[in-house]
Amino acid sequence: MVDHGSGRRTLAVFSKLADRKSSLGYADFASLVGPLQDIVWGSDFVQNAINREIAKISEDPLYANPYWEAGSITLASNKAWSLRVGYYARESEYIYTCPCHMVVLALNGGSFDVDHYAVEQSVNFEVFEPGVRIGKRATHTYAFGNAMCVDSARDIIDLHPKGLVPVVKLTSVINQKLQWAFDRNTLSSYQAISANPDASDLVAMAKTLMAMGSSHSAEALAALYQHESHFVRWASIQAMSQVAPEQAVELLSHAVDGDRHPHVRAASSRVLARLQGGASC
Amino acid sequence: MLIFDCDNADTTTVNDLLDFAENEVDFQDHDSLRAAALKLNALSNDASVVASFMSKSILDYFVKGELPTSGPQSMILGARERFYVRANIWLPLAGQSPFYKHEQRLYSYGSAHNHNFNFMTVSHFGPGYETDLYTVTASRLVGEIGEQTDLRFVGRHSFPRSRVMVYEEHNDVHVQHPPEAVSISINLMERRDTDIESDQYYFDVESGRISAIPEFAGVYRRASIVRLAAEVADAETFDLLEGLYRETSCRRIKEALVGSLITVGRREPEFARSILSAASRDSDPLVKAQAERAERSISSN
Repeated sequence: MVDHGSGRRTLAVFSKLADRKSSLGYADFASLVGPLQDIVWGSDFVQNAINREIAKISEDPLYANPYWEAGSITLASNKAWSLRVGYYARESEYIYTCPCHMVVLALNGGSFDVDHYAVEQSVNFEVFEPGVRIGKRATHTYAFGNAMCVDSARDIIDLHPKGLVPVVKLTSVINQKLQWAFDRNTLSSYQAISANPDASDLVAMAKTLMAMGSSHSAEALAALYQHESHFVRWASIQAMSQVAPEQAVELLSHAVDGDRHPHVRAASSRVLARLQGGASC
Repeated sequence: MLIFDCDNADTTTVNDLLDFAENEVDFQDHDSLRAAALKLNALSNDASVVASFMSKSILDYFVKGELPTSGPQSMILGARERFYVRANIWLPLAGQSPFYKHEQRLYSYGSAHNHNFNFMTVSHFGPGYETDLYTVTASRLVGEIGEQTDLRFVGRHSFPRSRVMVYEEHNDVHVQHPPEAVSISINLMERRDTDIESDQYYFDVESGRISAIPEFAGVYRRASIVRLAAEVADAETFDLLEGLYRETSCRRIKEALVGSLITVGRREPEFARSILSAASRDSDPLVKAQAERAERSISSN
């Protein structure tokens, strides 16, 4: 049955449910699929939201919404989830792991094909290893009545859109520290990037502060070592080595045994050994 | 494109620069630009202005969870109604990085582009990027990808400390090359509400043609939402979109609406007839050309 309500009421009910469920595990997140299907495929919620936006553009020639991206708009969000309507057309050079759980529903008779992959061995996605292989498990076509659900901890997907497909996408908070990239031809892991976009910004800042070499930035660089991303923590140690070498040695000494990430522990150990070797010469 | 090599040694603050810009700066007036260039260089003369802002932003991040950045390259130092000041970080590219192409795009290295706003930039720290400068007569452009332009090479310039480069909206085109070491520029950017209606392009410098449009620019983002609306529309949406076509002065919105007919035209014949009828009489060649494509597509399917 189609709900011809305003859409705002429908969204408010869904938002309350999502607030309760989406910061929990995948099972709770996946339990939102039914309610999401109801509002997307069983009501005119999406059209109402879009209609309000078009009305605003008509009324104000200079109207711009910060929630617009190229071909998509965020309908609702909080810190733990985000609901967007937009085109699903992403094709990337590599096959990436997903940084967050996601549910995707095709709109208006559209469909999209997805190859589903899984890693062929037991891996810890928080510690990148080159050469880990993925294998194709299935190919599915998703259309009306068939929602795609992605568990960020295990599902790896490769999208093959047939043109620009309008979809509604519900995503959880980013719950993976890294996004692994797999080569399309060899299906082997090639590189990883931070899943949190803030981490890239902070690494760039650390590199810049390192280049500028101002001792006034030591406090900020020490704070960066508290970040959850090991890329940021390592960037903070490297920058500190230029800005305040004595504090860098302290950080390295701590990181050798105390850092959460084995790559930072190993790199710290190497650098510290080199420094101590140099000091003894 | 104007270039000022400033030799003033005074310093100023972001707030003072913005006060000055709001009251004094006119991008059409050469004398005003020279004064603004000196003021921007005075801000750049404060060697700690970016480092201090960055350090404070990092400490604030661990309290508020937010950064004043728009991507790893840019951070907003301050903003007012007509102007804002931003620092841009230019990192050298690691040639062997698997994400070389991604980083190249991120920092806009190697891509010729114009801007739909006026701005001036000063080299604040590091060797600075090299930039190839071109000029194009933007007023003559229809705005189609693949369109031949009169793009002309003006020269390659280095960007040493205290050099201020002033970019004229639309007509100045540049290609930035990665610097040899970390570099920082500080920009004084003009902003106007009407930026949402004006075009920005990427160019192929070999052929002189428009190669792409930057999808992140406000004018294209808004047009993409309009096109999306047509594709997920109900009956009310089509009424609203017909009204929007009549009301709007934005040719990119019109182009998007006409373009949507390629996918929705056959299942929404009344909407298609209404939009095509108006578009075929439109004086803008961009909209007219899109209408011809849509008509061909509808009749061939």
